[in-house]
Amino acid sequence: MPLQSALAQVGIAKQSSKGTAIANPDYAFGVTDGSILTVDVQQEAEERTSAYLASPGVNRTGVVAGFNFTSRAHAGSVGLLAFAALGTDTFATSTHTLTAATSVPYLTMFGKQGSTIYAVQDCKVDSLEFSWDGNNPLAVAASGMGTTVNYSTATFTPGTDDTYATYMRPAGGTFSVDVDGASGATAISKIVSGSVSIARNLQEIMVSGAITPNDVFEGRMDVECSFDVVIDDWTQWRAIATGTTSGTSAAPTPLYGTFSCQFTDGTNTITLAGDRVAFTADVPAADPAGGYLTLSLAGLSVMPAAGGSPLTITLAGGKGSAY
Amino acid sequence: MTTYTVPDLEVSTTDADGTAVSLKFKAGDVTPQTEREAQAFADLAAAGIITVAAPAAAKAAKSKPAAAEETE
Repeated sequence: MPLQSALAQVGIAKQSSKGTAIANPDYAFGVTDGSILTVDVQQEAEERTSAYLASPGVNRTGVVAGFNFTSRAHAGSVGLLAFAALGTDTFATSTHTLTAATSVPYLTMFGKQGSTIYAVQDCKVDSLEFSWDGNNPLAVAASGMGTTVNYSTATFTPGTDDTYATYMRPAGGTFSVDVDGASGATAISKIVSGSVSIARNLQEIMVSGAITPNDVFEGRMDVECSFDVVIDDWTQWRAIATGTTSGTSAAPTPLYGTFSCQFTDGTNTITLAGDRVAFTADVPAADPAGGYLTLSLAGLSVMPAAGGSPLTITLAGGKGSAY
Repeated sequence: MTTYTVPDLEVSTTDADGTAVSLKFKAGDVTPQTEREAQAFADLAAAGIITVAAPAAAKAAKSKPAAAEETE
C-alpha cells in the first residue's frame, strides 16, 4: 500500500547547545508545502577516462540534512522560528521582541510521515520568509540545515500540537511602508501583498573524514522585503529615483525608509518592522485592460545607523516566557 | 558600566559557541555585570526595549514630594 502524503507533520525544539539533541518537539504543526525533512546526498560522476564512454563510478562527498517547508504562523511556533532566525528574544509584559544577533540557536527538527519519524540535530535556520497576498493567511517558509539524522529512534510527542491552533492573518492588522522614512513622501497603507525574508546564508562545515557536516555556520545576514502597493500619485516612486518627492534629477545616494506590517490572530499579533530600508521600484506597467496601478517595491533592510536590528519582530502572545 | 531601567525582563540569545544564554532581570535599575550582558543591554537600548537610567541625582530630585519642593 502506498504511503499517504497528507499524514505529515514537522516539529521544532531548541537545543541548549550543539550536540544535545532534544527527544521531542516543543511545537508540532502541519505544512502547506515542503517535506518532513531534507537530505541532500552530494555526489558526482567520477571524472576519469576508461575503456567505455560512461563514467566508471560516482564520488559521494557529503550528506547534508535539514528542513524546508511552508506553514501557517501559529503564535507559539512562529515565535520560536523567528527567534531561531534572528537570534535574540527579549520577553517582557507578555510580548516577545525578536532582534538580530550574530549567532542563532541550534534546533532539533522533527519530521513525521505516517508512523515514520526522523529528526535532524544541530540545525540552524538558513532562511525564514513571511509572505501574504490580500487577506489570505500569513505563510511562513522556513529552511535550514543541521548535522546528523536520527533515522531509527526519533520520537514525536510534541509539547504543543498546533494542528487545531489558529494562525496569523492580515485581516485586522495594520500595514505601512514609507520609502523615505520621516521625509516628504507619505507612508503607504494600501499594501495588497508582500514578503519579508531573513537569510542567514549558512555554510555547512565539512571536515575530512566525516560524510556529514561537523557544524553549520552563519554567513552575512540579509533582510529583504517586497510590497505591492496601490499608489495615488508618483511621489513615492519619484522620491526613490530623485531623493525627494519633487526631485528633478537622479539622486546619487540611496534613500532609506521604513515598513511595519502587523498580522493578527485573536489577541495575538505579530509585527514585522524595518527601520532602515533602501527601496527600489520599477515604473508600474501600463495595461490596456485598465485598472489600478500597482507599484512593486523591493527593499533591502540594513543595520540602523544607531545600532539595533535590521528587522524587529514583535510577537504579542506565544510562549509565556523567553524562547 | 551603564545602568539601565528595565521592566521584568527575560532575554534568550546564543553565545558565540552556540550555547543558549538566558538572562532574567527584575524590574528596576540594572547594571550589566559582564561584557556579554553589556552588549545585550546596549542592543536592547538601541532597539528601544530598555532605557538608560537617569543619573541618581536627577532621580532623587524627581522623587521629592511636591510640598517639599515648594518649601525649599
